[in-house]
Amino acid sequence: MKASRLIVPFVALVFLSATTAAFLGVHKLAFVAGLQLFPAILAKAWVIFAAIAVITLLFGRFFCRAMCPLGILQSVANHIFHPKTAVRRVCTRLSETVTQRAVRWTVFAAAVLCIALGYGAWAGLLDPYAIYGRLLSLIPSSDGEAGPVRLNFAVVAVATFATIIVTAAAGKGRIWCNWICPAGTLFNLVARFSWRKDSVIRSCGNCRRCFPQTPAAAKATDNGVTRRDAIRTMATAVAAEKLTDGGFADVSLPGSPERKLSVLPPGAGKREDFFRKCIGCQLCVKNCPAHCLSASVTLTHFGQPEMDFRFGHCVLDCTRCSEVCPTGAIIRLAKDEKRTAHVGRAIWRKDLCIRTAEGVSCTACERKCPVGAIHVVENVPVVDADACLGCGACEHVCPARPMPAIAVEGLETQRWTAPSDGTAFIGPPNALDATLAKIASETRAELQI
Amino acid sequence: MTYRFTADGQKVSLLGYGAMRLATVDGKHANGWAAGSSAAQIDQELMNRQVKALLDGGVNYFDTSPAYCRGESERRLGEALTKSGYARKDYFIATKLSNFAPRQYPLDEAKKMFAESLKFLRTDYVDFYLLHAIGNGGFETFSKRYLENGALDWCCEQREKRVIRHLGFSFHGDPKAFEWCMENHDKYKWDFCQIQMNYVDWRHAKEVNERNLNAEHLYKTLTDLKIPVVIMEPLLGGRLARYNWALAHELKPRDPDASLARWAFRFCGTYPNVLTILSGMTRNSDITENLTTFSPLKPCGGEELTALENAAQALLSLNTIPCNNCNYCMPCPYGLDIPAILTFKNTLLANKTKMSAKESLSLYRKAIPNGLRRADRCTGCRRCNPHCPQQIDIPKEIAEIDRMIDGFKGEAFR
Repeated sequence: MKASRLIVPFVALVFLSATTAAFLGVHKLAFVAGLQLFPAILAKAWVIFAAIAVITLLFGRFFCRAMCPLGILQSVANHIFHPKTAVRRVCTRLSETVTQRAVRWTVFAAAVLCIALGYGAWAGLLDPYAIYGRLLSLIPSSDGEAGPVRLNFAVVAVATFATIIVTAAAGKGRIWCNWICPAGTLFNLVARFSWRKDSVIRSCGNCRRCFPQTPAAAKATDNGVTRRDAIRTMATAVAAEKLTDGGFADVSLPGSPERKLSVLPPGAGKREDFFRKCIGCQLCVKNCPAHCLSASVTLTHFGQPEMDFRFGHCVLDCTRCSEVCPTGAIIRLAKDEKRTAHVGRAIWRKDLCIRTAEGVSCTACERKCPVGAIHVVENVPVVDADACLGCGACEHVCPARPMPAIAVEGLETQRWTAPSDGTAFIGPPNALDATLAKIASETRAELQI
Repeated sequence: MTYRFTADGQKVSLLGYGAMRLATVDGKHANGWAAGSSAAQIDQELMNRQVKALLDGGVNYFDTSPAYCRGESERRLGEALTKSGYARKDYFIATKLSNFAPRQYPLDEAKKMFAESLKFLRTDYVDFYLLHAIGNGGFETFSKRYLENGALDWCCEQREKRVIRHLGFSFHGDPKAFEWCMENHDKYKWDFCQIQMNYVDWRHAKEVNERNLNAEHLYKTLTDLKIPVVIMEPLLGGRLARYNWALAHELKPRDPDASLARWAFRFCGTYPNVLTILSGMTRNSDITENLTTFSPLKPCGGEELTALENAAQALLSLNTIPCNNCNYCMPCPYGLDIPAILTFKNTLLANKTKMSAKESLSLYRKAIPNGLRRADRCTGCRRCNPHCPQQIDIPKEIAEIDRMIDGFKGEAFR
């Protein structure tokens, strides 16, 4: 009894701080995210899954009490507001109404379906760990590089949802864990057969204080800064004649170009595999040192990361996102594989380029390309499509406003080679590459080159 | 305060005030300080107090230009001088014909610029008037700005009328412009000449850039013709004053109490044909320090000059970029903070111990907080280059710094 009273808070503290630190940029601690339930299932880490099952069979909902960051946060919140009469338990024997039971099992069924049918983004909306991740995404990066524009709808909506969960817990105990959480439902199921269930149940006492007064109809609200808003407020830089010294010309962020296919983080491999596995926890977004990832706001990929080159571009030697990904959605790349990873292709847009539009002899894209894939020939930036990796350096530095004149298109299947053994990850020919070839040939025809 | 005399017997303080690096309300200076430029308002209150303190300390030479500090400098200096309580005859004003943009080439524009200078400076005559940065952009530009349009002849007329009391020029860049002025000294009778002089440029200006003339050569030519010399950039835009291990290593053991800046001023003051040495004193501490150095100025001995020559060589061996933070290149049409970017590299080189990639990157991000003003945004349009009085190939340097930053990223993100 006494030991469990000390062990649970201690383990809980360790897990909460480690997970939080991982989201705040301590990437060496990112492995703790892999110990969470949804990531373990999606990554097919059966050893971890079995370990969680054993723990549950021994100690009931120990995971919920000491390992789940959203759960621990709820307990912390409740403890702050009710230090003496804290309702911090998670129940394994629930006295619930028919409606409550229906809600719980519907949510559980939805989560199972999402995972089974390959809608990782939606499964993530029900995963307590992924919800906690979006909550932490509200904290700006410590180096102050990416502005608040990063807080798009996909992050803010879920973070608001998380805030509601935690606020409710502060008042009434762990409503989410007992009445909604799909992971909780699974743990409940197993915990009925657990060895020490008596102690857990006794500590619960079935007091019903954690019962919601009104059903927790937590609905996310939209108060996020959408990308479209951010673009709308942008002005174009104007080069005025210089008469005096000093001062600054106006600068503005470029918009995000419309892409036929979004550019996925290097290591995503096949699009469908990535979308199936990624729960949009934002761990890669928060740990990207170059700040070139952001959450997607499209309905089917809500919250899953995609490249956004307004604040930075992918750095060839960096494999951080693939290192931290807990679900294996981003395949772990070796350094030499990363250097060869093709994630997209740059496409030049003649009508936007300041060389053609304003007659300025700009060489930003050519200079910046890390693999020398862009050559300005007779006033035309020509992209060597075979060499281009899609890192977005050219798009990042392009001075054209409101949209960059060179933009990266995503690939259906990423590819890379491991120079050490010559093996390659090469997918089947796909529709997009045909589209790209068509655009390129049209551009060439138009420019007569 | 040490004083020197012009040919017509005017008593000029050896320390002059340069109104190009005025303090702004955010604590930087309007023409870029260690952390680059500032777009904030100039701190007029502070400037009034500083100008008063300098006049009290015996400084009587005030140098400005219509181009300085986004065109604010003359007006601000005019206000500070009028409010100081000193009479107009107690101080000298130097300003310039800064007709850099092609649309300012016609004579009418020059006349207009001069009239505005008088208005802003709240006076009806200028003590020292300069053709601004002749040689910048080559001899052709010089000819267009001053010769073909008759601006130089018009300035001479104004000198006859005593509206301009002394006529001279400041020189950067193409030696041909300087040589032309020297050859035509008999005709124009230059009353003074402003050159870049310090212990680095004395013998090594040519080393830094092929197209430069060594200050020693300039000084000797002018002295032979009995033209007094006004000195600009005695501290190379602060590069000879800020901490630098190469300079500190050479100079600090000789006199632990003396600042690096004091050595640089003493070097310039050693030469008797120097009329005044301009210093852009941004902080109050600069003023106290400089007044101490110049009251009176102790000339350097032969051994000390050798030590300064050694220090110059040590500094050059660091391969710093010769940017003096003058902001003539600004504003960059694409919004880059050019001086801050160039200064960043110099800051890295100023330390003997090499910083780690992570530290360097963090220093870079702090030096230029706005990501849209950093080196990677350079379009290579080269519009900055003609404005640089130090003949730096700015886009080339910036591209190199950007490559360096990418290297830091690769290492730090590993």
